[in-house]
Amino acid sequence: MRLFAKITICSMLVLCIAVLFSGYLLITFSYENALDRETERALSKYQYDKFSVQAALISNQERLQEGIEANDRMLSVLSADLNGEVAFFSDDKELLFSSVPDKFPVVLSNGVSEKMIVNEFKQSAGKVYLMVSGKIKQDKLSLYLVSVTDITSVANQKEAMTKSFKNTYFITIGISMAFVLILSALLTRPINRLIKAATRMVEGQYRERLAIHSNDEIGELSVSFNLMASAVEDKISELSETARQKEDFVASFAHELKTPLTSVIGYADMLYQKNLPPDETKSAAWYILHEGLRLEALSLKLMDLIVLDRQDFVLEEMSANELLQNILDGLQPLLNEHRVAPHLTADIGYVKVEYDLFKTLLLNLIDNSVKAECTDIWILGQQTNGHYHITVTDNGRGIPPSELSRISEAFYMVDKSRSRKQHGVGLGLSLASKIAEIHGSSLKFHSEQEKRITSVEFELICVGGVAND
Amino acid sequence: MIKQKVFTALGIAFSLLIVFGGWWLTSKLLLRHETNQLAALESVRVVSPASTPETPNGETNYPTLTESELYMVLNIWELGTDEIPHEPRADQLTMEQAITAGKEGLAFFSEHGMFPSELTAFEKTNAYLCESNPDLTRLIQTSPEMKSEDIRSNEELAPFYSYWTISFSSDNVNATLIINAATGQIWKAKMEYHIAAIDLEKLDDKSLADAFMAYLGFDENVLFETAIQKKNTKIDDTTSKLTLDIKLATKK
Repeated sequence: MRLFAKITICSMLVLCIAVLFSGYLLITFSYENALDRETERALSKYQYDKFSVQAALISNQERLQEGIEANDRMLSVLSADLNGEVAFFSDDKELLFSSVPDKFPVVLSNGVSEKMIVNEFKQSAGKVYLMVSGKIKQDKLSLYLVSVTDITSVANQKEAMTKSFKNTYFITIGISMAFVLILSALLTRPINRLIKAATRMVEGQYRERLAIHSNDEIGELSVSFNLMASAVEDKISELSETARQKEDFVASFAHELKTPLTSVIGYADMLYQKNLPPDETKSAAWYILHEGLRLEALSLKLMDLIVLDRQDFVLEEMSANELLQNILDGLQPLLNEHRVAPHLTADIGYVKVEYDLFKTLLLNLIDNSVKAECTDIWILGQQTNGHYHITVTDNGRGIPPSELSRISEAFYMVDKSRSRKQHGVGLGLSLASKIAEIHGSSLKFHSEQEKRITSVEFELICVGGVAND
Repeated sequence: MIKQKVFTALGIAFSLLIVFGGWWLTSKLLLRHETNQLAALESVRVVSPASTPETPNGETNYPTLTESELYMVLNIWELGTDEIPHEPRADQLTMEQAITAGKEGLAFFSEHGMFPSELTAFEKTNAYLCESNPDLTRLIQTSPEMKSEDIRSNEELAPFYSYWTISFSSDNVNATLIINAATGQIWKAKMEYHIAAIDLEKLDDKSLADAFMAYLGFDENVLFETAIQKKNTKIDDTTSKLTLDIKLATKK
């Protein structure tokens, strides 16, 4: 069921109950009051009538008694002096006289006695009467007096009130229903807009946003919806980027795998099919070896990347300057081979690192510098604001500014032919970036090709302040 | 979607059912309430009239009111609140006693020339015992400390707040006497004559007033006085109506 229908039904239910209950109370209260008023009036009337009859009995007792016994017009004359309609019954409860119209047969109420007046309502021929019955005893003569009051006006008044209430009720409910329908439609309109926006988002329109018109709950819901839509949009673009990267990775991987394998298969086939002279055989074998080494490097680096993604590493506290010196000492043969001069300047400080990973990180960065045909490498370690800042700078070929944003992607190579010749697979910087992430940092590349300056910066968590030694 | 529309239609049908069903139920309840109200049978117990005690020689022993009680009663009567008829209660005159007191009063008025004794053969006698609105009476005699629930109490008023209205009438005269229901004294009388039964000019107000005060048991009083009003209304060329009012009143 639609929400507006629910609001309408609930409002109508409450309104109907409230109006009907109020009307019922009002009518019954008014009716009871009117009846009480009429009863008091009828009792007064009876009392006056009784006094009149009693006074007549006192002053003319003998004449009246004779008249009553002879059933002459005496009671008729007496009743003419009384208020309204009356009836007289004898001591044996037989009707002696009645001035009440024949349509209403007067009956003496039960329980009437000298000490008990009884009032009761009677309905006859569409009229309502209030009868007050009592007994009059004066010396030897006793009579029952019934005083009858027509209270049809009270019943009519109640009926008119009920009719008026009926009209008021249906008009009120009709108008209220229209108002409630309009109001509930207005109230649920923002929710309908929300539903439509959500539907459009389901259909892929992640840029869908709602206009905020109020500060109420619906306004808050719209704000939350917009926040959720932004989060979903960001997540979707992130997932799309990840998916694109994965696709690129798979494509690059397939390409990187195919290239050496094509050479390996080609040279192996050549060796198998033909009897080549020794120098050509050697050359073919060298190519197979070279491409095999590339495949090995590729598989090892892929393994490292997979391991980095799946393993939790424990960072240990180490002396930063000693660590850098130690790693640089290990790389000395490589640097000597390529005639690269290392320059280390490091503040004393303690950092939290995973030794093997950190060594791999620096090795990859220095290896890249070496491959860029640099002659000098400067490693600078500075402690600033609770961080240990490391910068690796070389004077190699440099990286074009347009390539800087992509160099840490897997299989991305700035100069593919040169890189392959140097057994490069395009995973070194990707691996280095991953290791920097594990250390809570990221690699920031900066390169000026004209000045032959390329630098990579990253930060490590510094602990314990400045070391004493 | 279709299911939702069906539910919405059912909901609207349900709300219409509430609207019309609610009215049907209310009208039935109203009818039932009316039937119950009209079927009610109420009984009112009547108190037995207790005669005022009589002295050993057979005379009725009426109580005497203090001046402050008398003052209060007169003030309340003069306000003219709505009167409520009731049966005589304890320490109040019965109708027979009231009529007797009325006849004695007329005899007194005859002695003083206000009522011709030859007109005492009345054709009709009537008598009503009433009291001023009890709630209003309690309110008037209320001290500031009195609480509202005391004012609305069902407790009966003191017997002297009630009065008998006795009327004697014949073709030529109507005499209406207001008699205190406790003391049996006439506090107010109005005589109307359709014939020239008395000569209003010859009646001396001062002696009438003194006689009435003496009848009530007062000599010189600073609180009360007798108010007398005489009127001769000409009805046509040959007939006129004489009216004589005499009553006990508080001094202004």
